[in-house]
Amino acid sequence: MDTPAQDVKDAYNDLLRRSLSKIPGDLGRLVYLASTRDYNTGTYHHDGLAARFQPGAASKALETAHRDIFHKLASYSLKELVEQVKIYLNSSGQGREEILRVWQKLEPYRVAVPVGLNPAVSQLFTSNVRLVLAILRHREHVQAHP
Amino acid sequence: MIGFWTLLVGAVLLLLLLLVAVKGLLTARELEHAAEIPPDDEEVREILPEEFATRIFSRSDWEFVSNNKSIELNRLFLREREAVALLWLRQTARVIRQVMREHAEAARKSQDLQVTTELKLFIQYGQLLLACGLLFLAIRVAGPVSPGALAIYTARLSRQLSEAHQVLKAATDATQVRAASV
Repeated sequence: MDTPAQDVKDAYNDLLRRSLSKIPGDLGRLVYLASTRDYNTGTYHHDGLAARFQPGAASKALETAHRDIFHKLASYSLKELVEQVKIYLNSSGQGREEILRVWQKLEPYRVAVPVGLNPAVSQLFTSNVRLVLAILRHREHVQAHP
Repeated sequence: MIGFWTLLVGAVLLLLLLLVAVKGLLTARELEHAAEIPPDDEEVREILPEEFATRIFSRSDWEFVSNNKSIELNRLFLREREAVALLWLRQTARVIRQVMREHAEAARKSQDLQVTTELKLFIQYGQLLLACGLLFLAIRVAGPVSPGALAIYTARLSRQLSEAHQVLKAATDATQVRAASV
């Protein structure tokens, strides 16, 4: 059975208001939304949202929000993306250098790509994140060894 | 004598233009075959908005990277962007050919084919193939930053072609439905 569009819209607005607005930065929002997706089935689940809305509407709202935030990040300039990564690093509460090193090595942000996305958009995003990480590490190196 | 030289230069220029056109057509064909895109992927049938072409071929991104004054970063940028630019181009060339294949099929079934419109579409298609070929050469020779204007032109023309096809297809479908109901 199809989920009514209005239910999805309501769930989407609720997700924006209650959860996403409290996460600093779009990259943090992307990581959060990607974490609501089941790696095996590709379906999205969020306890709070599923309790307030039909499971189908909640899942569709999460999927839509994930795609929207991904498109937004993929269309950022490198300068803007550097700022987003800085916000993410500052809000993560973990070692900045350590995150940069691990992200460069393991590329965990690849998992945050929505399913069925246009390959060029997906590649633009992953390529830009790779560049931003290299820029930030280069800057840290220059600061440490002036 | 001046007439002879003008004629000769004109002929050489025309020949060069023809060579570039042929190269463009051949490259566009190669691009389609080289596209590593699953054939059943619905998403790949879309033509990306112009802003993505603007982003991929962005000069401001290049300036932002080169301000760091690092040869390694510059190299990384050029390598990364070239890969994205070529993927976008392959994808665009593939979608254009798909659109034209679908259009040719629809035109064969059409009962009131408009020769002028078909000719315009065909010319637009030729321009696009040529632009794709030139863009491919430009990216390989000059890198992913210089051919920005040509990339945006290609993205715009691709969208126009796709939209024109959708309009014609809708009109053909409506005519067929009317004919069937009579």
